Amino acid sequence: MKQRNKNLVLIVLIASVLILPFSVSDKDDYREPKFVQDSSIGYYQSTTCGISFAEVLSKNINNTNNLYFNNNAYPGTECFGKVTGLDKVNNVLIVSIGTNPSINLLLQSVLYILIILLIKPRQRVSPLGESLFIITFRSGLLSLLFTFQHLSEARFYERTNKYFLTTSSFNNYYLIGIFLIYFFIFLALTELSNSRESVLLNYSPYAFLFVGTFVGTNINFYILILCFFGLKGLLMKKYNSYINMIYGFFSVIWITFNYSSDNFFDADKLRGFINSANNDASLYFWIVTFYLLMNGFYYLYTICDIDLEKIKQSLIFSGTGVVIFGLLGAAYPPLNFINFFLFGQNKRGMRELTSIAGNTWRGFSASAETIGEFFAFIILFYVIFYLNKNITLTKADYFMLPIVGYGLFRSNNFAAVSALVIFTIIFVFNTKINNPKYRKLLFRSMIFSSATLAIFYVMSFNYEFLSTGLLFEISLHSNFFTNSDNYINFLNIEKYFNEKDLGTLLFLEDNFSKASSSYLFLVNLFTTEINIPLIPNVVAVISMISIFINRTEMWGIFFAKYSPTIGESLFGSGPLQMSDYLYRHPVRLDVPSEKLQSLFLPHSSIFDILIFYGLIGLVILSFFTFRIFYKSEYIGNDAKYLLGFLIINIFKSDSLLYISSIILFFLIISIITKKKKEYV
Amino acid sequence: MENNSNEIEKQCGVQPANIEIPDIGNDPNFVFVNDPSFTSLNLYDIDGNSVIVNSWIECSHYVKGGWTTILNQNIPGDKYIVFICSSLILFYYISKIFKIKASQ
Repeated sequence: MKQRNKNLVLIVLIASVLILPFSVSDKDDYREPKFVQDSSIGYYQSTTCGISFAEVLSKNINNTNNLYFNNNAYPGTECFGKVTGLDKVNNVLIVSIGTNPSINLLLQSVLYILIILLIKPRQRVSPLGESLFIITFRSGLLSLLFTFQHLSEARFYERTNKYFLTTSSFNNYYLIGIFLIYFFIFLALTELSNSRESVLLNYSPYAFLFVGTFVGTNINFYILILCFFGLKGLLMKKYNSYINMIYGFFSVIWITFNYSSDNFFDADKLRGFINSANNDASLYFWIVTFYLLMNGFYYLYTICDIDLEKIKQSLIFSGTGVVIFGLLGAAYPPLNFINFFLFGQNKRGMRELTSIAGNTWRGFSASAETIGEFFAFIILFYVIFYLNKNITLTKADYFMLPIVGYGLFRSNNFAAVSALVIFTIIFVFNTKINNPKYRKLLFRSMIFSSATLAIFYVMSFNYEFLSTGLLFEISLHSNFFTNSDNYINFLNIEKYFNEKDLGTLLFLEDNFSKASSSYLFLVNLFTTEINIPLIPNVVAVISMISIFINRTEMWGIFFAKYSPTIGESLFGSGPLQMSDYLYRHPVRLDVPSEKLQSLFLPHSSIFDILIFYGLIGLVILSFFTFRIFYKSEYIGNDAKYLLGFLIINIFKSDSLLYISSIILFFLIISIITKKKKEYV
Repeated sequence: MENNSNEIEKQCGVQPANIEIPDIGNDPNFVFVNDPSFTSLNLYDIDGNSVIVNSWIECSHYVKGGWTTILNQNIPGDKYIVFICSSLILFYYISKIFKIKASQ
């Protein structure tokens, strides 16, 4: 069959998998869909699991009421795609649709596998391929691993799946079903990967459009793919021994010094790529998963054929898709629901286009920073590779680039825009001005004007404020002076800061024992008697930076909460282990009461790395990154601007908490480090 | 209100003439009087609990509260999933074996 016809068949199949499960219902029963309004609340509440999502839509095409289609994961398979209730909350009529997680896992996987099949096969594969034993062994092992997650993170899954059962027996159809679903997914991945694995990386930017998180689960499709390739690489002995040895050493420390607790993190917007529990079993699961994931990246790196044109297409289609589907989802409630299922969003998409709700492309991206970085990244990619004639511009590009620009504008990410401008200027200076004399002059004048601006900015504040701003903020969020009125606590803390008497502040009301270990460490550094002339104190510098980039409050909350032991500060708590950071050390957040239950992430990927891998992990990762920058044998020099752009941005965002951003990092590193002959 | 009446009519039949619907509210002591002319009906709630109603008034009262004549059976969905996946996996292995034999 020709590729074009194949694609047509695949598109029909994709549409069927998407539409049919939400359309099936017993047409012979008397339960008919009704117009959704106040008077039909009782009807829909009593007529559950009988009316399909499609039937409701057919009766409500012209419904101007404020509707919202909620996904209700808990009901059983009989309710999948059907109305499970109708409620009215704050003038919004909430229609709940059943989305059983076990079926989601199967259906969403089939959808994504069909979408991957749209990629034209590149390699010719022997019909014999791998032996059935190897395929069965690999799929079985991976399925066992991911089924194990349902036991290790039982508190997460017992909330989301009606059938959840942990008993070890052959009657536990829940676990057997989960195992078989995974087994089928890995068999399917075996088939489609054999002929496409070398080009998969060129399509990786689609991870921003197809987020890939399974509804009602704490796992992501890309993790499955990467673990699949990881195990494949290990079995084929395609791995990096150094990285694996370092990781093995860290793993032993994490396992030995792990403090299990009952802390539970509902995963919130990090769902799919975070450890929701804090027990030994969940730690083992994520250690092994992350190990396979790293090896998966390495395997893909060794076999990939980089094609800049294909990467360009993936970037622009993905960016445009995020904007268009985001807007459609905000305008039409049914599409908002479909987006959530089809694209595997971590959280439901934005519901309105006002400046607050509409600026984050929520759903496609959990944070405004991350999606802003992605949009800016696309533009920078075009600038760099078009000016260097590595890619061409098509008519479609002229149409889609402004859409991506609009996405960047609506993401309100000033830092990403600034970084885009700066890196564009640096790139143009470096590559387009051939006369080194002029180039130097331009760089010097740029550095001089930036420094002048920075000095003027610093002069507008007083040094006292700049250097202690962060410590002050940490004190506000620590559990000091436990007066019920936050303002009185604020005045108390302010008094001791004005008197420059941090010692007394910590001495009073047992504040010392209430302070986090990281806070005490910073205070020690700040009040050290060693004073090198003209070299500012490191805490003062961090404080200044936090004020410049508007991160004082968030970093203040981070240091107030981050209270690691010595071992944890050196080696971290383990991959994606955040519940200890979030819940172990008691704090008293000085934020408006309505925000007290919000999730406060560190707002810097550097701090995320500190939590997971500690100071030594951070140093090792930094070493590898700088090695990429400075090793002369690497040829993809132009892509270094893109890597630099991403690194600058992660200083103030939590992007590395999202698998899509990690994939983008990996893609750029692959572009940089692949030898030119390996480009397509 | 009209929709609610239609629903009651579907479940309990047409409201008999000369019947006045008393204000039952949440009165726990209210006793429904059997109506010999009314064919007893089984009603079920969302959890599968059942009740036999012996008068139109009693029936309408329960229907208003979300009960229906249709039993929402607890389908063993987890078994269905096992069955579907086993079939898919079996299909994969059979086709794979055929491929291997054909290529040999």
